[in-house]
Amino acid sequence: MTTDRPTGPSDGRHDGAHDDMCDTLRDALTEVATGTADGATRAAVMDHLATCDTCREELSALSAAADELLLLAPEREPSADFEGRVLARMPAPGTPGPSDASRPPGSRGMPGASPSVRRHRGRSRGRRRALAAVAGVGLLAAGGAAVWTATAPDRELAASYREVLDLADGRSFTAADLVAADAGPGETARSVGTAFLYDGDPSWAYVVVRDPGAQDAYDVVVTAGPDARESRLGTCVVHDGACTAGGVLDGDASDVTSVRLEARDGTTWAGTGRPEGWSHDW
Amino acid sequence: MAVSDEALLAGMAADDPDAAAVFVRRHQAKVYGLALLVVGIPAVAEEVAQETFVRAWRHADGFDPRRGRATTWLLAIARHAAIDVVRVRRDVPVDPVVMAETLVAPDRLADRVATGTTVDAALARVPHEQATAVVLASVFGLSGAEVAERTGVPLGTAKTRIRLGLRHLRDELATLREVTP
Repeated sequence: MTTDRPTGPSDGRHDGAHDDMCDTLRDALTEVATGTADGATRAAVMDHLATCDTCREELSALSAAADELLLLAPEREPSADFEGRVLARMPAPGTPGPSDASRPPGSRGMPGASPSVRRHRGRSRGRRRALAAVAGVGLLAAGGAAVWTATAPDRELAASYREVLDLADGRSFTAADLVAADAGPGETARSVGTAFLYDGDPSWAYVVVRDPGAQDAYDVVVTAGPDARESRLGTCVVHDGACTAGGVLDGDASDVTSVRLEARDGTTWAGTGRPEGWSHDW
Repeated sequence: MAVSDEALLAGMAADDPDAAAVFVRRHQAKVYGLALLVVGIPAVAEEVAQETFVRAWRHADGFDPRRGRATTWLLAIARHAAIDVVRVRRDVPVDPVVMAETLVAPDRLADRVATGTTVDAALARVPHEQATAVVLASVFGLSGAEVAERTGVPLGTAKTRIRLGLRHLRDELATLREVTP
């Protein structure tokens, strides 16, 4: 028995062009709710939601229903000392956490961190995050192993890096902090995410924003070559407190001098390097 | 009285190790169970579950109880982490269609409804093809095209099933909550 009869989301909706857009985006709205929408689809939906309360409420209800389905999975107990291993990966004393600004000096981190884990904290925590984020966007088809060994000794990490490059004859894979433009002269730049550059065939750039600020989307703008030509790689649409976007570059990644995130009003919200020129030595 | 999930997340946001320990113990079976369902390999599922709690800690200060329960918020993170792994690994043994069919099997849903699980009761009222399609999308992260390919139906049919299934589910959940708030 099939009961796939169409029921338009336009029930009880506005008239005219707005209603047409609601209908046009009904599958897209479902994809966003189930977490299967691509960046362009998500961007189109977010644009529409800015002017349509009905669809915004619809998305909220559909997302909640989709999330409820996750409760279908049968509960299973992990192996012994799972809790200890999780806590060992949480913040060690003195490392930045989610509440850096409010954390009192010397506040404690999670107990049970092994020495090998602690060795990779501090500065390398950013690198671990970056690697995890790369896995999160499914960029490195065979490099997942590199992600899952991110807390292993450095030599293993280096070997994984070489394997990733060798797999597709890549020449380099680099990353740089994306810093917010709101830091004044002399102030410490605030890192909001990471820009990745892969030099290969093809070369590509990708941004991962973990602290997306107030806007719901940013354009990714890449500057390359001696003539500082600019190209737009896509829209980074904020979802669940983060956003990712990127695309294939016209030329070599080694020609790229900066990656910027541009707000809807055309202003640069964040970029690699320093705000005065946003150039960066990759 | 047990501390609420919301209070534990607030504690995690302030780097309280005791809050984190309680939160992990309380939810580890759900998170690991979901991870195992999606990736199918116990060792990988444990990595996914660990990653889930680490991500939850990172974003604990962004959790908004007005937008949903902590359990579903955490499981949504687990789902993302598990799907990330499925997309980069080639050795995942799980056939999502088989698993989805198992999850929505009428006998199984009836058993779980008897134990008072709201989502099972709601899903039991959704037409089988729609229920399967919406589980494939929402739990296993399959796109409409992937659902079409794996279930052997045209793309339009797959998309319609996902769309209608999700709306059906939303309506049934609302109805059940009106009856048993």
